[in-house]
Amino acid sequence: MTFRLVSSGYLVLVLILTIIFLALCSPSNSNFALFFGFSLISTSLVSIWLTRRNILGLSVTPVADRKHSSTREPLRFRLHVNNPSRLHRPSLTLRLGNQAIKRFELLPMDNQQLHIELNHNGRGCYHIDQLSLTTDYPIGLFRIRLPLTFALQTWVLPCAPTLTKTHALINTPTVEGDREIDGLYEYNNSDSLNTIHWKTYAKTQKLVVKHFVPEESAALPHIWLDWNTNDQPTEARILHLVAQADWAQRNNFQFGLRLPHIEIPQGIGNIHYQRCLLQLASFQCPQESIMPGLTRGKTSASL
Amino acid sequence: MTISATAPMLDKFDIHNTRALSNDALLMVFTTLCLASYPYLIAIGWWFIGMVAAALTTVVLHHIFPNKNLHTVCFKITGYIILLTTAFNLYRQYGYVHPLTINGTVVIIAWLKFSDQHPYRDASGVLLIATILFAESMIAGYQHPFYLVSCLALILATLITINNHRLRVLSRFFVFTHGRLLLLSLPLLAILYVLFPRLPGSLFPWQIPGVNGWFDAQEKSFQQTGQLNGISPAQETIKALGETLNLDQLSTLGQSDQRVFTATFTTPPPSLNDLYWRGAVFWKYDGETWHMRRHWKRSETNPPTQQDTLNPHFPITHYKMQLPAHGRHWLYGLEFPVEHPKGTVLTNDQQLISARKLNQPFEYEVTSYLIPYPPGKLTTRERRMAHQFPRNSNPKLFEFGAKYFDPNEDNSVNVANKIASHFQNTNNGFIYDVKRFPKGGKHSMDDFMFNSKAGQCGHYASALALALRAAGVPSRLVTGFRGGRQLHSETNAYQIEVTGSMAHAWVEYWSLGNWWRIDPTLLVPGQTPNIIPATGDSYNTPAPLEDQQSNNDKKIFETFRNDLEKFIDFSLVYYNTQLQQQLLNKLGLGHLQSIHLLLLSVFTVGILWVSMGWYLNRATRDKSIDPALVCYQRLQKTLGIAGLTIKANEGPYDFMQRAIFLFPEQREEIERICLALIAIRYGKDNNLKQIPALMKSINRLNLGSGV
Repeated sequence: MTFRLVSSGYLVLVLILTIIFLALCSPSNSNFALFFGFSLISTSLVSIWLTRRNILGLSVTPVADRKHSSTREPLRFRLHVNNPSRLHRPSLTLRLGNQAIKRFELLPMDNQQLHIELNHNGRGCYHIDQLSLTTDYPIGLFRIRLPLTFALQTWVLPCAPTLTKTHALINTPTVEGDREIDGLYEYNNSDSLNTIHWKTYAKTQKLVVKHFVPEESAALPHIWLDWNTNDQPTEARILHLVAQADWAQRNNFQFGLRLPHIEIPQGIGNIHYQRCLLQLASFQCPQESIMPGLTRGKTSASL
Repeated sequence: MTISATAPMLDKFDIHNTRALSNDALLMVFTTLCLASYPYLIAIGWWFIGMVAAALTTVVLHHIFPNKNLHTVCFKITGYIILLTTAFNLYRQYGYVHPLTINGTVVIIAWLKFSDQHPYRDASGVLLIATILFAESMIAGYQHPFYLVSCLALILATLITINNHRLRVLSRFFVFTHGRLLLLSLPLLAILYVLFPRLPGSLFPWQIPGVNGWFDAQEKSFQQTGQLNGISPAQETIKALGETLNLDQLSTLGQSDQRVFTATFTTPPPSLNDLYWRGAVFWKYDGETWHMRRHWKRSETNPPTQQDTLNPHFPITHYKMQLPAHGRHWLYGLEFPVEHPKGTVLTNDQQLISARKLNQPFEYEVTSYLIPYPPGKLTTRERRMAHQFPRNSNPKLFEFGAKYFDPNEDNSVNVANKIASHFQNTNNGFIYDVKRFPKGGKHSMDDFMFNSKAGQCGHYASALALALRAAGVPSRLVTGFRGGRQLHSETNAYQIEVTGSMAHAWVEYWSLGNWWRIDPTLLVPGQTPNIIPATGDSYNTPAPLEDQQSNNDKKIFETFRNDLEKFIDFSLVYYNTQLQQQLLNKLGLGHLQSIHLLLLSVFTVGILWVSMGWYLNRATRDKSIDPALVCYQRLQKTLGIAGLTIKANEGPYDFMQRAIFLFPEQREEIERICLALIAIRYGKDNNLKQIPALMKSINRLNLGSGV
């Protein structure tokens, strides 16, 4: 927890010192000015404790989010803030670096999910690592900063324009109905909730997911989304591939992705589609700092 | 399949994280700025109020039409014009280094600052400027305790509302926050104010010598006697003859026979009966109190010519005045002063005003004519003021005066004499009595003229001045002292002392191009043209019992007010090195040097501050348990004693169902408690205020002998 004077606090400090100096130097009786200066000092001193008390005891945890932002949306992430005390906590601010990104207040015994939205520079993996919770309650001259030690990672996926009918190769209806289960596997964070085998969970209290037997491959067209099919600029090629993947996903085609030095084998389903999009989002993505505390770059986790 | 190449998505989303400013905060900033501007609005005058109003109008219009470029440019230009015009006018009026020039310009800047369209930044800026103005006013000597307290409360309230935009000023939380901050800061403030070393003159040799005369006198007195000088009753008398005149003032404050000032004449002095020591001149009457005009102008009278001064029959006199320090600007001189010393101003009301407040005894030489001289002229504005009769007050007196109305101004002397003779007529029953007051309120003069008919010089002068106004004769009230007591000293045979009991009030009316003095008190039956002490003990007749009681009540109130004023004066206004030393002596810390005192004050404040922090943080830790959970656990325990134990996987709703089943006679109460707890713990309404009531309900549950 760190303490600092805000810029207006510095001004007021200088003002108070000036008042006291002038009051002491003034040839006429300036006891009122001295009283005024001392009042400002004592109020400020008390408010430091109230500022500290306003942030003491709060807990902040990140909330895992399965839905990634697209380039048409702001960068989003969520935090859960809990106030386990009977104190009303007004004037709380979540900061990234020195930039205020969310202002909120907490009632006694209250907890809130903070939905944070930030501007971004396009597709890629974004790292948020200088989050802090600050407050300048009650008089705004002092700020107590509580650094949040966890680092967050969130994705902005490329978003391609929807293909028109003329671009559609085949308008195959989506295959529906029962499918044969290949086996049960342990649940991973990226697995769909629809694939959880609830009966097993009810019996064993363990989360397992169903893996299905691949459908007859001959029944569905197989396509490859290849980087080298055209010679447009990088971003345009990525948009092109995203559009193709989107189209293939909607039409339930098996598709694979071939990028320079990277190949994702053909597959089907949401998880496969998401994996391809993540790969496209991070491909040749520049590493750069968007703002203090927010950087765009390669992901540390395997895709 | 072709997809056109598009640039990467670099859209910036409209994400607002800037601080909001509530209407309450805006209102508080506005009020703070009004209060900060108040001394300057009063001191500079109407044209400045107009400029502030123009600045405010510009800002309001700017907010109404915020996004039109042309308007913005126009408003900015208008703002600059207002600012430059004000600054130029102030410069012309006061000069460029005068505090009113600088502060007046700053006031206009603060008002125009509202138009920058960055609400939070503007509000903070305006508040900072307002704080500077407050501080400057106080450093310059604007000493009103109410002003000080209002400043502090407003600054704090504004800071809180600016930084907590969801807080409403009238909410309980705001009042609690504000009050707690003020209360907690009081001990620190007291320590700093009392213990922080005062070092007049020791650190800063550039102080103007003698200006701190009051402090010097105190220091001398303390060194010699070990005690401080108080304010003498005579000084209080002078102090009381200030900017306003309440009609009860002369009798309550002028009862001292102590010397107020002395005058030393180089030639034999005029007859003691002719000595009218002119002080304040009052033009405006609001029904209860007389007020001076707000703006003094220098007198445009010419100094006496050499021919005049050489004429042995010309009524001119030259003398030296010695006045004690009284903290005000007032000086006194025999009617009518025409020459005044350096450092003083002679106004066109023939008042002598010191350029500085009299914080030390002051000696000055004056030349006075004993006749109204030289002839002047009455401006339209002055004439209007001299005819002013407050509406809805004293209708009988107005009717009485209006009977003598004469449009011919040359007959003013006759009109004045006729009205004044009303007091002289023994049939009318007027008596002089300082202990009997007419009824207060807006019709006090009606009561004096037609009912009580008893009062002192202030009442007679006020009644005559108002009656003259009703009769169309311009008039005004003058206060000061009348008479004097000759001192027989070996060194100088022409020395006269004036005491507090000689405080007096009289009337001046305008006729034939001059102001003429008329003293109605002298005409009251039983009076002689000899000197009449304002306290008038010799003219005292026993007052009726009821009046005595009323006067006693008034005296108690006056005594309380005086004591309070003295307390504020000594504890706040005049607290200095000597008072501090006296206090330290009492505390057994008299031997401490300034540096030790500084360290002691910092150390004490530090200790208190740390204790305060410990207390506040302790409160946070102790209250970190969810009260709703505690309440639910109490319910479980109560029901457990009665035989119903909660299961490990049982939620509150199921627990409630089982409890209702087992204790059907307490069904409603159990259901109410449990549903309330569920709503508090899991619902949207986090109303913890219900918890104490629920606890009481749980304690009152009568579950019989158990299951």
